[in-house]
Amino acid sequence: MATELTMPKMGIKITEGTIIEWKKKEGASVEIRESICVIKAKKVAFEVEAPESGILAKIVAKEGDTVPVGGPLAYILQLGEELPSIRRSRIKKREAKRRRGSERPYAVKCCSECEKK
Amino acid sequence: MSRDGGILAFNKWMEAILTNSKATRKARGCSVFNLGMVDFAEASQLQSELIEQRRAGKIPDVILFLQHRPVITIGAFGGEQNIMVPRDVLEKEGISVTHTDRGGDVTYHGPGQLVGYPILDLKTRGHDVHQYVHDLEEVMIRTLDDYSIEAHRDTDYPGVWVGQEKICALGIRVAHWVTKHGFALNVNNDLKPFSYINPCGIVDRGVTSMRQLLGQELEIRDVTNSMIRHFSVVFDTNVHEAR
Repeated sequence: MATELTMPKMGIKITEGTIIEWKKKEGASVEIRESICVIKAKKVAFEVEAPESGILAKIVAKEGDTVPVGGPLAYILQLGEELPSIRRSRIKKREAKRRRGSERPYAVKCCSECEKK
Repeated sequence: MSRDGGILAFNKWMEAILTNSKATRKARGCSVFNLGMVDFAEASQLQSELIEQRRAGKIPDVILFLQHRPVITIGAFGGEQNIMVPRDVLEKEGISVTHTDRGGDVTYHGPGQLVGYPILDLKTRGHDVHQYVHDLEEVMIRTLDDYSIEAHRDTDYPGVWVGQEKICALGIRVAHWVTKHGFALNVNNDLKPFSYINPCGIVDRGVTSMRQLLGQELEIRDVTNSMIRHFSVVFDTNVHEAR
């Protein structure tokens, strides 16, 4: 089965990230733990590592896209593996579900100081 | 400490810690180096070496304190459009321009500004880049409070502010959960070069410095010591100058 590269959890209060740069192109081979893309969260540029070695077969989140934590960024294939036949609508449905999830009423504020404002 | 003194101490420490397992065992907490004036490119190189060793677990957390010669840096989220004057004006003023991989947009560094580059492994600190930024801001706010300057965070813009003016810029990169780059606190530095840029891409705010607010020059060394104390508390670690 293909390995899904997802938006990493960069912090307990971080719910999404924006793709700044793909360091690898579709079709390139990647090594496990290699930095393959850079995302932006607050003032931080965060390098996302490949969870598995293989071929970066499909990039689903383009530069500039904002993706919720856990949302798909790309798929890495190893020999003999195929891309999952996830239809676009299914991905959208999953994203919508995640977004609803992130708008929980008990979502905490950043800190007591921010709450004062 | 002179610039060369700082670099020499740093090199000696690196050599000892990489060749001597006893030194590695002794090195706990967070080691601080005061490097004095260092070129931006040289500081980036030093950080890359440290990050590699930190990732491999061969060195403890480290903070480099230093100053840069006049330089405008363009971060990973920024572009040349936030430099508002032609290059020859900058050249005449002795300000170089360089791209860097830190987070954030355009900023200026120059003599009299206290720059800090913490090389920390966030895997030992809860895998949380937001918390890291928050903690860095907290260190700055407490340090400024020692000088009776009331600084605060801003919900819209990162960094540390006094009123509507920025006093400390943050720009960070995290790779394999190890931090690179850091903060730049305006202590005594000339603020005029900030008028050549839209700092961090923000157009409706100003910048300030400790000197401007207090009406006098400060000892960078004293500010550094204050910062080290607060770093120890906020990051709950033993921050000490490496010898």
